[in-house]
Amino acid sequence: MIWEIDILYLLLASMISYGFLMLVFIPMEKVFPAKKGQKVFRPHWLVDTCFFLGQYLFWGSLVIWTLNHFAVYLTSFVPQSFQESIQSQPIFLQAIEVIILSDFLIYWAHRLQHNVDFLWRFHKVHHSAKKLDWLAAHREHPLDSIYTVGIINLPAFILGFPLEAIAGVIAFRGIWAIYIHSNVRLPIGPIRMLIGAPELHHWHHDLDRRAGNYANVSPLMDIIFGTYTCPDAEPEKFGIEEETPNSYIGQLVEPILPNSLWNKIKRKSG
Amino acid sequence: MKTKMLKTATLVLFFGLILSFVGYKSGFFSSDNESAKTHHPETEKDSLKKIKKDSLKDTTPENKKVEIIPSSKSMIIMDPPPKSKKPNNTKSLKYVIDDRELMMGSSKSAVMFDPNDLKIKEDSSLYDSIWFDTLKK
Repeated sequence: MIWEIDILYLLLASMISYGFLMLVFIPMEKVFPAKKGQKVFRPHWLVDTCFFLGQYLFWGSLVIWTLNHFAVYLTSFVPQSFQESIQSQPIFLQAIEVIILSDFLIYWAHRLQHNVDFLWRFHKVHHSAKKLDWLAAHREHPLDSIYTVGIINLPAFILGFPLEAIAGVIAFRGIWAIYIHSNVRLPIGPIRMLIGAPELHHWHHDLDRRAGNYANVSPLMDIIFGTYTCPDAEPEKFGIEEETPNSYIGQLVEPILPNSLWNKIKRKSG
Repeated sequence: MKTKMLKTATLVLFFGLILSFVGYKSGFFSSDNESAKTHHPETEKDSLKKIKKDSLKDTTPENKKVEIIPSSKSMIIMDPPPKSKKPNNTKSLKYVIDDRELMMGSSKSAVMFDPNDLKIKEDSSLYDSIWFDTLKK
């Protein structure tokens, strides 16, 4: 009975989140469109909705479960005295350290995803979206999520930093990460050097796999490591050069199977 | 003129909703009792004090659950039991898993609202009804 209520809550939370995000982003996409004429129910919106629901209903818990186990083992190697010395600093200093370290790690981890074929197998699912909007942001393979969320939280695990102290920052980063995928073009001038914008991240989704702009929310790491790019116009096309399945299940299964087996399945299914 | 007004209204709605969301997740809209139930400490200073206090105690996972329930899952994740006290029972592990509110999301997307957000409201309505019952008496 209790688990039925839990499932009900989970469904309700997913629906509220979906509705809230529609309310936040659809008016922006209509009034400040990057690609004019792109519809709300554009091709493959249903696949992206499956990714959204999958993330909220199944994979989110899997990611947390995996990271809990990972963190228990990882932090058992970290001397308590080290964590105590970190925690003796002012909380704002700890927060800055965690954010900078997280950004640094996720920048390089993301860059690796684009350069190492094994990591790209999973990450390309996210880049397979040919139309970008707030919903396409949720197109992500669960194993890719474990990798990304694990790395971005690694500094907090190791330093023993209480993330609740920066709950607002985390919430902002979460919603901004969706915003940079939205079909919006709203130039923010020089501020875009500090905080990411759709005009930057859309170029990251260019057909060229190594187009740049790998940083998380702030593009500072891209500026420091020379991968910042921001042409005046929007990219002509989004997506990837490789052929990828169009279905949700296909997108989940293809990266975990050897190519030969996947090709066999594809041939059999016509 | 009409377009300008539409654009302004859209921007106001967009930034208003984002600010409200960030405020909500920070516990800004919670009353004292509710904020104790959420995972957000009232101030950064309080949070640090609480963590220091917690870290000084020798806590088992069960004890931590009692002390830190209103705190965050991240607290548990980042301050795990010593190796010999790994959470090998499903009860303590389940708490850690379910308590998914505070964790940095991936660079692509993040969970906006989770069941905890709804349960908090349910708890507060229960609390209020008890309070009302007391008043009636």
